[in-house]
Amino acid sequence: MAQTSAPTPTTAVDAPEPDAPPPPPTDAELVVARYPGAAVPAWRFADGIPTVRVAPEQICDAISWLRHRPDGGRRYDMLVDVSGSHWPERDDSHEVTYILHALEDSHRIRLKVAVGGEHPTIPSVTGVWALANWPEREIFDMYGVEFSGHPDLRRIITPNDWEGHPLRKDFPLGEEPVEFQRP
Amino acid sequence: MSTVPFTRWMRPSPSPEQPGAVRPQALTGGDFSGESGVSLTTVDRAIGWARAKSIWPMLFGLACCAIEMMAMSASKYDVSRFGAEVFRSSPRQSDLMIVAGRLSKKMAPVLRRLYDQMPEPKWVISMGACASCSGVYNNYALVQGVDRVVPVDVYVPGCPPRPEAVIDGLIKLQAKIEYDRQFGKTAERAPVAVTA
Amino acid sequence: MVMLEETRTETGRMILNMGPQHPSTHGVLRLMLELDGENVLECVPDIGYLHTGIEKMMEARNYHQALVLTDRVDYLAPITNNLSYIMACEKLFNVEGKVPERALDTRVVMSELTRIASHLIWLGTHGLDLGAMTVFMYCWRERERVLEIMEAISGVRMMTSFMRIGGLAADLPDEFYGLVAQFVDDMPKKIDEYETMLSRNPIFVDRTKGVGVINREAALEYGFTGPCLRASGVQFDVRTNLAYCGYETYEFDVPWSREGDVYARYMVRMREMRESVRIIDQGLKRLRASRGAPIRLDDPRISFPKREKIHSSMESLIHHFKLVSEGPVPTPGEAYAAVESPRGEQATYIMSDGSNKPHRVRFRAPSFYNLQVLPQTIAGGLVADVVASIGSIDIVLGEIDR
Repeated sequence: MAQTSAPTPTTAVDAPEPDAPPPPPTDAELVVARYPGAAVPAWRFADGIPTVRVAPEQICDAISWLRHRPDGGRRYDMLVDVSGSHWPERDDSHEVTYILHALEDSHRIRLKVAVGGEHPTIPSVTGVWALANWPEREIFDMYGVEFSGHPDLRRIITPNDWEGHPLRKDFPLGEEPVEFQRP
Repeated sequence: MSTVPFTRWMRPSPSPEQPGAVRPQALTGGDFSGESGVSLTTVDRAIGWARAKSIWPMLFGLACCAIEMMAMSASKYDVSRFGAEVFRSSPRQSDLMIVAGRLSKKMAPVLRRLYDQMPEPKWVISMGACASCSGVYNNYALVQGVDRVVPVDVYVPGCPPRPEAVIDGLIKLQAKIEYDRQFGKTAERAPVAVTA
Repeated sequence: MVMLEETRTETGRMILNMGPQHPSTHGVLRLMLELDGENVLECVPDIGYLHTGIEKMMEARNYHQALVLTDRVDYLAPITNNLSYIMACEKLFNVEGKVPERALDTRVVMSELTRIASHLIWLGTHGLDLGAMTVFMYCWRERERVLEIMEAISGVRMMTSFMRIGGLAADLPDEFYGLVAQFVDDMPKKIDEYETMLSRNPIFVDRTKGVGVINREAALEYGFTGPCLRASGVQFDVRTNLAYCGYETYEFDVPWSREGDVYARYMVRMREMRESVRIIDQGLKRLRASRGAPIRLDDPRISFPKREKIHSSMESLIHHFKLVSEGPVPTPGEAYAAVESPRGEQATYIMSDGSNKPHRVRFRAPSFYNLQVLPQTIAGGLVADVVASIGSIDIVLGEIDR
């Protein structure tokens, strides 16, 4: 009946050396510390990109801070993607995601903003980064999220007189029944 | 009139595998269709032959099928062998519109306007599954088949169809052009499908 | 006559519509140009003429079925779309590091073949726009050889959908090695041929040097990625900076330039074609050595059981049935996977809510961001430069409009 159990460690191999300095905070932790109410969402991010959720009114400042880094930290030189999604079961059902990339060591960070209500509105990031112009128009077109301060918010992909926002979950796919007739 | 200046005519005949099909088949001289009188038939056939062998397609590549259409016009599947080398971009100078690709609802009025700008006689080949029946995309954004907007003469299935399939469609269209009454109304024509 | 006088007394400016059907817009792109004579004052692109609702459709398909739709997003380089979608799925299913070596090498070789095929289309159509029709014919001749290889592998010329979660759909046929070896031998001479025709051709150089200049700051501000960004002086390539599929084990250079004009983008892409041939050569050696190795991960959540077991065991039959009817089911989460497509950083961003269908699939289309830069490249140029600029940015409307 020999029971094999893990040997009790005599030295703590996992704990850091007592006189070593603590590791520097990651950029995600700095963002969380800087903006009240910001937090890491409780969700599985399978790609390993650190993620922070911020409030809508903080997003322009957050992106600008990450881009210019007045504190001398890693600068994120590229805004890679601005995308939207719709989670109807949540209170803040519309979510916009910004992914930034730093050229010096290829680190990425992801910021998420969630809004809800009848007329979801987020401040536009075009003042900070001009390339957000078209993606924000696309999110407006597909989801109906309005971006305050956007220079030219109108539909971009659907026809100009389209009604409805196609990628919302309550918009139907629009399948037409197909008749397969025997000849 | 027993002496006929043209000795090789093409007339459609049904093939066993496709009863409704239009297939080129050579005839001996001296055969008349008897539809519209002897001398008019001769002019009819001559003009039909000339129209069929020198089709000028219009560049209407929308999506992925446009790439195979370009491959068809390139050197390996040379479509200029069949007279359709000159791809005109202006609808005023073309007589065949190959709708190659998926037609979205935003593009549909543009398609109709370009079709209306083409001078008679004009034909339409619907190339690919998306143009024929919207292919894999049965959704809100696409017109479910180009024939809801323009009358189609030949459907070529595939996603994308091989260049040889499109050339097959072109050959069937050529036979159809020769068979059609050249001075009749275009609405009388019936469409033909290419089996892949 | 009355109209002419009216425009003359007003401002002399004209609004010209380079409509959705145009030989030089490389797809259904509409540009509204405000012209002062031959000079372009302003350019407003209008997109959406190819909107297909692919992202919405993918929410109505399971993970296996949705793969087929990804080919049609960027239809000039279908393999890269497949690859980014499959990589995002593999991250979601937590099998990212377990894909067999042979599958990774095949993915690299197919990606580079697709890159060459896409650059050949770019070169052919760009040359055709600028008046070089011979280049068009020559490029399509080489492209046919790449499509022959694709057809030997998968049976389909363009929309192969050859990847599966955890590997490939099938193993490579025997003809593959001979075809690719022949291609690798011949291609550098063909690229020399294209360069002979264009690189020092005074007409081509006049039309492209100094035209459509975008400097480094503007490139980062307005969203360039890919060869356009590298031609403006930023050394960013997803294959080297965020290496995937084993690219870090291959030896290749990433060309870049400082000029930022149309000619620089042309040279960057020509050199990229040569580097792709190098990568294919290395990949081919590895594939020759690993013949017989597995090409798909044997994970019961995503892979079908073996044929023999399906015919003899009830559990395998049910397993197969569940995978076909319901499809693989991941745990809730999200994954963003980026690859280097011939146009830039192409990525698929999948969000899963734990059901068998994706909750949201987003394609980060490089041409969508690259096209935004177009008005900056054109401002102050001539109408003829518009054509050169559009060709040099290398857009695909399928991925812009999705």
